[in-house]
Amino acid sequence: MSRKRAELTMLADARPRRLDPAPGSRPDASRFTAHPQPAAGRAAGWPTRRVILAGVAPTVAVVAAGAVFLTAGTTGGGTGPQAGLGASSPAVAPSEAPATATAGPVPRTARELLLVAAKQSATGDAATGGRYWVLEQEHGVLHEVGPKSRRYRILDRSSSRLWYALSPSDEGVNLTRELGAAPFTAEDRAAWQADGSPTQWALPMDVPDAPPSIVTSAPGPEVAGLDLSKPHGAGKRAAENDAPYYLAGGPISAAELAGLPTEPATLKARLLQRFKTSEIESASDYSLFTSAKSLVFDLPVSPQVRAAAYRMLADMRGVTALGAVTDQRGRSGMAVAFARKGDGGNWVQTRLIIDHRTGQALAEESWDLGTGRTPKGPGTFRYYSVVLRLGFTDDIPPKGQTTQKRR
Amino acid sequence: MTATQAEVEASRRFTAMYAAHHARVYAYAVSRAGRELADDIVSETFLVAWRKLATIPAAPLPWLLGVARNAVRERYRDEVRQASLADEMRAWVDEADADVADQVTERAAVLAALARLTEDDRELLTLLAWHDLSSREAAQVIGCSTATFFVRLHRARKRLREALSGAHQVASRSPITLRTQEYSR
Repeated sequence: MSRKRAELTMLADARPRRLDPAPGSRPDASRFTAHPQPAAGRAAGWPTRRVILAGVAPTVAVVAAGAVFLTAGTTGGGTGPQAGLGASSPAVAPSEAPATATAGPVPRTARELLLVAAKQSATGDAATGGRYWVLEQEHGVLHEVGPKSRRYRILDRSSSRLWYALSPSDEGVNLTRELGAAPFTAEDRAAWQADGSPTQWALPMDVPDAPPSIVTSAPGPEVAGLDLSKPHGAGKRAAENDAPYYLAGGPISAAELAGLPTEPATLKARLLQRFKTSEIESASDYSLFTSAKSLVFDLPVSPQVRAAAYRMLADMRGVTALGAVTDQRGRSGMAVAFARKGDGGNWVQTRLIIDHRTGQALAEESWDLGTGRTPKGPGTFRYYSVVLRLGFTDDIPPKGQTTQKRR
Repeated sequence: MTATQAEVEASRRFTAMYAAHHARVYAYAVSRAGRELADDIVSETFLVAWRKLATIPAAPLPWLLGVARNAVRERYRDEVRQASLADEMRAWVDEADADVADQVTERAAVLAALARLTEDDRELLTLLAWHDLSSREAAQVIGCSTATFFVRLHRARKRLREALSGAHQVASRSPITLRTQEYSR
């Protein structure tokens, strides 16, 4: 061989084919994305996927202190926000639940609202156990699309129905459905029509070599994913995965959630303890806020733990009151908010909408409050999740309409 | 904790990154621990990637290989990994020997020479030659400065040259016999 020939080139030529995975052997990404992810990571916002909104339509600005509510007329696919969840069994919307106390004075501060919510949630008659923990939600996120000359926003909606089996002998359910995307406001709709009324949009991904993500206006089938309540992963992973929920820096099991303190200071200490040993999240006002929010919004805990989480939030720095609002389903509630500067340089405000009559959390919303030195309201809407059903039940779980997600 | 819309977004981003980089993380895992353990290492790597998605840099490959590298080192007892890797390197030489294409002898000889190097040298060289990283990216994976990387690379290339001059005869005579001590530190 030539002395001149560089060793690295020879080495490159000798690259074994065994380094390449067998074609088609790559497991589906859902194997990973089915795992719980820390809230801090989700809410930080992707630097290059910021939703940059040129201007807020006047109609939006009027209600911006609350939440943007889409009228059916602004949607393209005929699937307005009230269109529901397809095959969903009749959902018990929190606002339809009977109030457990006569309406007292309307809370004026974040602290007052959270203390009322604590009291109401602790005295409610919700089931405190059952075969399943049910969490059914609708989600919506804004994307900016269209030609450079005239960008517009589409609201991309989806639904999720999660039934966690609480006994190993039961099977859980994990159903998700794309509900389709549509122009957000009347102004966006006009720009969309000028763009030729496309029914499909390619969103560039900020990942080298990755294909764009395709969003369509047509609703998709309800797709069954991994049963999150079952341990998965091989060997030593299985034990860890027996904790299907996520709280304050790491996975947590139903049993651990049931054992959480019911006193706010002790609860906070427990959360801080979890952050100490976590490589994923560290303790901060924000991570405490998202953890407490998760306890009232989506985790299977007793009414007493939920009340403690509300009381903890009541005493937290940075939690502000936004007054009476309407969620994306048109349900009225009152909101508290927490703003932090995200990784992209924008102030990201997380809003938690609570029905103060029952203490139930109705919705979570994310708003962009600009890039200034301080957050600037009312801001622009980014995404929402509304709770359609939440609680323990012995009901029969729904079945998906489609086969198991492949690969 | 559950599928909020933000998580749907995160899931899209992860899926794109996973599709784009799975093969390269797999290749790295095979080269460091053998096929037998590779799937497990790749799994571990992408699970960490999912959990830390928000902190992954825009060009994620060096970061991913860094995570895989930690998984390789922390996850297995050294003997287990070395045994798997010895099998792997034997398979490389066998594969090259069985190849009917040109330059067969050279490929087998290079692989045999590579097998005689220390693990650190091997890693350095293959990051550039097989995993297609720039020196700067490779330095990032290993966690050293680019300057240090170049010094180590220079030495590793020299040792590969030396091993090559001796490996020719070995490879042509008999299949190499690899013992753990030869390349563990």
